[in-house]
Amino acid sequence: MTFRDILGHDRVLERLRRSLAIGRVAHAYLFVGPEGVGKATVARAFAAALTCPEEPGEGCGGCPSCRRLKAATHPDAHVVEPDGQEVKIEQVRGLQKALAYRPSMARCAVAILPQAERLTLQAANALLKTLEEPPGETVLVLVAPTASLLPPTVVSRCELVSFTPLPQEELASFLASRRGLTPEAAELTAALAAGRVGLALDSEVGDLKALRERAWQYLTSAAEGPGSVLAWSKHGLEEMRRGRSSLKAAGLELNTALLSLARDVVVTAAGQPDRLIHVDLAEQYASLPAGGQPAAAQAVFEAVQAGRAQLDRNLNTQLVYETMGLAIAEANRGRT
Amino acid sequence: MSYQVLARTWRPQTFEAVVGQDHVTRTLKNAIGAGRVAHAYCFSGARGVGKTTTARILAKALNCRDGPTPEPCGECENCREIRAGNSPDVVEIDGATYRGIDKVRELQEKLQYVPSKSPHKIYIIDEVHMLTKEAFNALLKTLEEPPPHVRFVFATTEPHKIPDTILSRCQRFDFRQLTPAEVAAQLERICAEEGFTVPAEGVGLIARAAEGSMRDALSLLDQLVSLSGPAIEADDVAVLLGRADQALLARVVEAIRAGSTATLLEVVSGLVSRGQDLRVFCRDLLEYLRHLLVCRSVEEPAGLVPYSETVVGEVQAQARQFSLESLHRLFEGLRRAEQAVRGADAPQWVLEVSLLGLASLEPVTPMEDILTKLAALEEATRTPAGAPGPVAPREPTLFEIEGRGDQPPLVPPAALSEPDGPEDGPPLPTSSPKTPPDTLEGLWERLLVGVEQRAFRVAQLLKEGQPVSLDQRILTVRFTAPFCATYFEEDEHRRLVEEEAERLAARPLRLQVVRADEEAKPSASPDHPKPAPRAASPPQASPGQDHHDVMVQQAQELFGGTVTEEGYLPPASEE
Repeated sequence: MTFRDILGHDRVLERLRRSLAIGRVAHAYLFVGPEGVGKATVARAFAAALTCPEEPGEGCGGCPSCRRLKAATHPDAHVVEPDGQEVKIEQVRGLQKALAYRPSMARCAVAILPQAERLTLQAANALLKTLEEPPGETVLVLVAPTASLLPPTVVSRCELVSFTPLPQEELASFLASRRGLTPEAAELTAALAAGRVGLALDSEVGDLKALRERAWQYLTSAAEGPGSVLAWSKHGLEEMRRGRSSLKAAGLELNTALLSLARDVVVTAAGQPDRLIHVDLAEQYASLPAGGQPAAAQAVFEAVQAGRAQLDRNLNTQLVYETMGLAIAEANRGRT
Repeated sequence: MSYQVLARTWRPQTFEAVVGQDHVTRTLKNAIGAGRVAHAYCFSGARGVGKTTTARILAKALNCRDGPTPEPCGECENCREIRAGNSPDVVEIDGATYRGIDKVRELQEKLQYVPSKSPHKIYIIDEVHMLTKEAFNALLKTLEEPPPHVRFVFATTEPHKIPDTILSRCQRFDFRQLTPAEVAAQLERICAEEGFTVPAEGVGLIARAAEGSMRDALSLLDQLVSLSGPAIEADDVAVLLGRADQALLARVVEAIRAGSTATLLEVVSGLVSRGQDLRVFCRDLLEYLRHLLVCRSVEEPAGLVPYSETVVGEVQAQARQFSLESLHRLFEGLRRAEQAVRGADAPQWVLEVSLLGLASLEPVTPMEDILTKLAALEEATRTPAGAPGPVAPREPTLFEIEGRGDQPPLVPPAALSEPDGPEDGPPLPTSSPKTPPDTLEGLWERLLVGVEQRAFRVAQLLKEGQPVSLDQRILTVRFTAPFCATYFEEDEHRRLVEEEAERLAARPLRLQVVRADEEAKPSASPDHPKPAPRAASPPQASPGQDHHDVMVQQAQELFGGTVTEEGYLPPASEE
């Protein structure tokens, strides 16, 4: 993976290339942005650009250095993934030990922490000295969803690089050309991925259609009343679970689809049908009670958002969908 | 490749060069000059304000060839070694890595050795708050009486995590956050030295974004230089920081006010397609709202908002379109939106929905208006048109009762002329000097107020009644509506009224309930009044009797009143 293979993130790439070109590469970076937009991918490409002897500052992708980087066997590239749930202080100490040696193959050593938000407090503090004044030629890249998940002392020692989701059209046209999707399918995939390339590339179109169909079923059953949504939460989720690693994974997937639908309901209630994500559902949206009342539509969206937060906190998936469904039913009845 | 970030190259090397911490550097210089250097210091303060820097300067000042001197030369071997971070006698420890008691013991073993070539052995422990409790306690003895050649400097961002026993053994210095002006001045100095050109406006933006931390400011400057080269435009700064300009923010706020949903969605999708960071946009919007709030509440906001005169005028004009309450509510709504957007996987949707939600809110009524309306409403409920009974249409409030002496009587004479001439009996003893002659009316009026304070609902129903008579032991009240009579025949409610009456009259009083239809007929037994045998005797025929609906009949029984074709009328007595 080199800079050339990366879709979007033009501003980020321009900035990194420039720093490389004029020799002003900082010793510590913090990449922040939503999950799946491509932060870690860019970090790897950056590592290639730093270490590649063939095309320094860009990365060729074919030389021994780049190939070893790809295979995660490069002696000067250190990737510190969480050990279990967290990145522990021993791992940080191990990294510091590794960085104390001169780079053996490349001009500089690169350390990537793809989930820096999982650093324990002790580990993060142990990293501070290295982040401020790393030994020799070292570049550290920390990756996290937001800077607020890391101690301010860590953030202040890094150059902050912000990643934003890709515009939907850009992602859609990429999917159409790269994956050979029909424009329709590309639109749907891009919409459901909310600008996150990683997610879009991982999903199968047929699955996405089915996913959206399920989300829509759930939403309408919630609009019908508590009874039907409770029934759906029981059977629908079970059906979804087949082919997925866990009920929670199914719940999270469904939640993203639901969020896009709920956003559309709000937009419909606001009277802007030409700004929908799923334009083909316009009429159906309008038929929902919440589709005509801004306050109710807001309540639906908030319920889905709350559901997401609960799933993240490992609440029982079925329970989350039940309470969420009841809240949506309530909103549709106009009692918000 | 071998590039050092500005924050490292421009780390101050003398006390004078440290920005904004005069209270610390002056004290330290004087202490060194007077030969009164403590053996342990604790530097606390936010990130990037100069704690470690000052610690290193202090080390140089103590170990300089000419030292101890307030002005280390920076030339001698010791100074150069300290600057390069490889002096054998200045040990910089990172408290997070060496946090256990073992490490402290190791350190203590080494303390007894004299420094190799300098007068002092100096231990700088950064992030000292990360030491474990045991490690801190192991340090206590050493910290109180260290060997004469040893000096400790602790630096921490979280002094509250350090035990008091440690703090009391150190001289503590709190480093303050730098003001934007101080950061800006330092930035300008560095830009001039490095040959960067940055307009004052851009410097101001960086300084504010750094939030009082010099390191943050310099790392922003670094990024700018790598982005745009040494000649930096104000726009570059805004672009790097992803800042939205005032015109866009004003447009969004106006769209929220006008409920223009199309504009809001257009702005957000524009931001996304330009790759703008929505989190930054949210913060900008929040900050702009703060400026609106300032402009709304202050007459002369010129110095308080970072805008030129003409723009301040515009902002003020926009602020005037909102009530203060609306602005506060908007601010609160955006604050929540900012939080939600920050952690969201799909920030665009969250921001869109939040903005649409704010746009669909009804304008807030100022609290004063609500209060006025409430007062009016209160007034209205207290004077129900043609309230039954002899009670004054508006019962006095507590204060009015107290001030009764110098106020005209609140009870209109008409209300006092009760048709029933009850034997008033001899004047009754009163408990309160403020109480006027203890008449039936006086007691009744007070009773309503007293009961209302204890139970509003009971009082409302009690108002339906008409006081009939009062003697030494019994207060007789007549109720037109059977429902009310039944209500006060229930022990719970009767007792409440009786208690209040006893308090007011300073003697036990019993409440005797009389129904309008059984006028003046005392209930079965005076001591234990039982509910009247209501169910047994059907009510007398009323004008609406021919109505066959059982429910209606029952309702009529309960509340009294007349049934007409259109609906119900209140009881005849209220007409």
